[in-house]
Amino acid sequence: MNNTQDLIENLAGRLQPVRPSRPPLPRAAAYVIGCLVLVAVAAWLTHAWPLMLTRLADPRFAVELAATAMTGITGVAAAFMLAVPDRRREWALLPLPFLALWLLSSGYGCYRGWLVTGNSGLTLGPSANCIIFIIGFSIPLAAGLWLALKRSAAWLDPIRCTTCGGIGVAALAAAALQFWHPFDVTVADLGAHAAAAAIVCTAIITTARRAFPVAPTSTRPANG
Amino acid sequence: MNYAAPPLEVHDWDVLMARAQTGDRASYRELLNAVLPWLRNIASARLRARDDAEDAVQDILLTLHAIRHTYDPSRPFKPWLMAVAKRRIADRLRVKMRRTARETFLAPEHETFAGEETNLTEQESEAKRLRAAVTQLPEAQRKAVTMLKLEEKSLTETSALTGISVTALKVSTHRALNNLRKLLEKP
Repeated sequence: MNNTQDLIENLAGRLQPVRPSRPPLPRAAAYVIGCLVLVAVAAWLTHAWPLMLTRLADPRFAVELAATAMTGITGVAAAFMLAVPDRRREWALLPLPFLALWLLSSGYGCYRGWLVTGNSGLTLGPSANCIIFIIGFSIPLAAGLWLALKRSAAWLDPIRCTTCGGIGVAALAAAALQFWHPFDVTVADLGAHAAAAAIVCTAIITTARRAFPVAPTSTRPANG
Repeated sequence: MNYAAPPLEVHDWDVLMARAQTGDRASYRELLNAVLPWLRNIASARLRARDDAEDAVQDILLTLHAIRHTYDPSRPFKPWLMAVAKRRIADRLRVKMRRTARETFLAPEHETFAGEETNLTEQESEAKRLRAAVTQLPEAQRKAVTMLKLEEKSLTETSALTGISVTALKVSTHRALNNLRKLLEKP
């Protein structure tokens, strides 16, 4: 019992002032706006906007793009909310409806493509580039998310938090890809997106597991 | 009709935590002492062993200190602390379950000699020699080896309790183990 009293005295004795973190949703909004501005400027510099506006006339594509972007936005918002101790864990479910809509609209695109082009959509052609693009674009987005969460997160539930962050980052990268991927989605495309998202999520979760082991401090090995 | 007043202590915790974020040490000490019985109740309800519960309370206090900047002063403090406590206790239970799953209890036939007295005497004499050797160590080394190796506290926790840096603790432990080896090798 005395040890706990000693601990309290010690913690109180070396207390330093801290600046309280800003609320999670405004921070998530700032991060998402930063990502959207980055993609919009890159699309403007590469003259990708006119083709995108033409493609948005197709309702299926508009729904797919909106669902992808919303999966990204809600995934990032959930990650910021779960990083704070007293927010509900159910925030982790927020991206799921948009993720389902994204898969459904992409799946419908695959079906429509199959009716037109037959089995040619099953081969992995330009889709290989999609994997590289999504992973490559996810790296700066994930690094930005890491920096945004690093100071403000409590990391009490790192796996749930980073899973949502991983889904969010991969979905934002997949949405950005649409600017430079002017094709109907095929089965191979969908597989490429899923594989890239899985790779990004696994990399982020593995990093979090190493950086934030969940073992309580006093049960860790004494020399560790 | 009489309405019950809101519990004053909960309101006080909000104020004390907000003051602690500004560096007010007296308020922080008061807050930690005020939440201590509450944390002990929560921990002992979930962890049966008293030592485990007290270790969990210390974990929660250390976590509270480390992440105190994540508390939003415009929100109530108690749910924030409850979330930290629940998470830390759940982590401890998970680690304990993993350890228990890996451990095998020894039956009497696993002992070198079946008679309890024989083994106890041997263990006792070994323990006595070790305790005697530890008392011969310089104070810093004795403190480090006792807390880290005999009481199995973590480096972070020991550093927090003693005010000695983690690096200095590692050096002291290393030297203490070398000295103990030499002392115990003597006939």
